[in-house]
This record gives sequence, C-alpha cells and structure tokens, in this order.
Amino acid sequence: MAAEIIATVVDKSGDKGTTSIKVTVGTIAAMTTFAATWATALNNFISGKIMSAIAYIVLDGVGLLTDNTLFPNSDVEHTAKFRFRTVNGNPVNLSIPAIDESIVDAYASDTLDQSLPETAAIIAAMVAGITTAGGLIQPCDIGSGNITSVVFARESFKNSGARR
Amino acid sequence: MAVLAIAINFTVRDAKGKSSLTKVHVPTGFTVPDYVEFATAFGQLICDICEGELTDISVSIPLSLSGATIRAAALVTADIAKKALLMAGSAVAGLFARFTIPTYDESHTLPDTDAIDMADAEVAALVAVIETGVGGIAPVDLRDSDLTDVLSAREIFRKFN
Repeated sequence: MAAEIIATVVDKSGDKGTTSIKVTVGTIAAMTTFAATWATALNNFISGKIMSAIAYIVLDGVGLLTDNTLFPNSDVEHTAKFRFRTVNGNPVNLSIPAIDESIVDAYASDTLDQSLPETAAIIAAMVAGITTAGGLIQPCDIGSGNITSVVFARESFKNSGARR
Repeated sequence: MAVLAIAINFTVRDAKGKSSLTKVHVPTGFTVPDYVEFATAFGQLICDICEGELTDISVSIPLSLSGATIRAAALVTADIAKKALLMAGSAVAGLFARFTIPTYDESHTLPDTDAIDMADAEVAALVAVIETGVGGIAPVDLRDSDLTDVLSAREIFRKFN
C-alpha cells in the first residue's frame, strides 16, 4: 500500500492544476512533514500558488470483503439516499449506489426499511461510529462536526443523462 | 487554515460497467491503520446493502502545509499550461515514474533548449526530495519500488483554451 501526495496549484487566472508524488505510507505526521518539504521545493520551482495537499491512499484487500457480488440488474443510478444531522445542525448526505431493492420498506413507498439489519447497520455506523484499534471513529461533516441523528433514508434515482 | 475532515471514498460498479463514488467524512486525530480499519468495516456494510461491486476503497487525508514556505499568491507569469515533466528511474530496472508539474517557472530552463537546468539550486532541491525522500517517507513508482534518480527534466506546454 502506498500513498499519493497530491498538491493543487492555482495560476494567475485562477485555473487549477494538480501534481502528485507517490510515496511509502507513514504516519500522518511524517507524511505532513514530507508534504511541507516537497511543497517548499515545488514553490521555488513553479510560479503558481500551492493551495492544498492531500494524502490519497487506496486500500488493499477489497477482494477480501464478503457478499461483494455484482448482480445482473444492478445500476449505480438506483441509490439509497440517507440524510443525517450533525451536532451543529448541518445536514450530511450519504448516497449508496446500486442498492438492493429489497431494502425498500414496501413497493408503495420510497422509504427504506430502517429495521432491516443491513440498513440499521449503515445508520448505526454513521450515527454511533465504528470502533477501531485506535478508538471510536464517528463520521462527521467536512468541518468535523459529529453526526448525531438520521433525518431520512429513502430510495432515490439519479439522472441517466444523455446516451452517447 | 484549519485542516478539513478526512474522506473515506467508496467506488461501486454496476452490471453495465458504470461506476459511482460515495464518501463518508471522519474526524482527524486517528492513525492511518485506524482509518483503514474503519474504511474496511464500512465497505463491508456497503457490500451488504448494494447489488453492485465495491471496486475501490480509498482514504483522502488533508495535509497541513503550515510547515511549508509557499507564496501567498500566484505570480503574474503563472499558467497551468506551462509544465515541467520529470522522469525518475526506479530500483527495479525498466520501471520509472513521471511527474507533471503545472505553472513551471521557465527561469529554470537552460537557454535555447527545453531542458531544465539540473544544476540550478532550486531544481536540485526538488530532485533531492524525489530521490531521497523526507523523514523516512520515500517516493516510489506505480509498483511501490523506491525511486533512485531523476533521469530527465524538461519543460512542456499543454493545449489550453
């Protein structure tokens, strides 16, 4: 497993570009130190402004998950749309593509059956978090406000757009 | 500027070959293995609820650049279509890595050529980061082998507008 450190650069016109460097995965502190040194060297090499940097890590082991099976009629435009509320009152949406129709409450409804173990597990993970070796990780909004409740869970469809 | 929350990204593919990405934000303050553990557990929950195939899980960690020395605004000459292309060799013979860097400052180019001046101190500083890494974090190629040396560096221009 490696990390890609990606820097976003803006030019005089406000147009943005990115550049990246793939590195060994270290602690977040070590990757932050690397990014700062790399960004300083980049800054002296370019004429744009470096806006931000992220470490992007693709996980190994997706193949180890169970029930990761492609069904013949699955469609990513058929989604489960969840809305949650954070401690600050901010809404957080989660849209899970290619849902199994059987999690919908009834054919006369767009509501997801929150009593189903699969749906309840998603809601529990978002509201109560997941315990890891380092402690409880609780999902949040982009400003790190913890999610505290679910507002709704419903079936949703995305626009297919024009066919080419 | 405050560092934003960490994003866990999940990519699902359907039977028609279309892909869609969904993400969950989680707070800072944990280790990479903790985020990997969370992402794997949440990925399993997605597998349990969907009929598509979960093809990728990734973690995006915003990094603070407060320790970097970077300019406050782009120079008037900055344009993302002006790029530098660097090629670095790998510890595995035949493998290499490419770096395309936007808004390249042409003052580092040797006169009457497209070649970047490797003797330039500012170029050498960037090359040193690529070749030796920083604080135990080492640049690698696509197959995670260490990079050994920057083989070439030249300016390029991309079609833009």
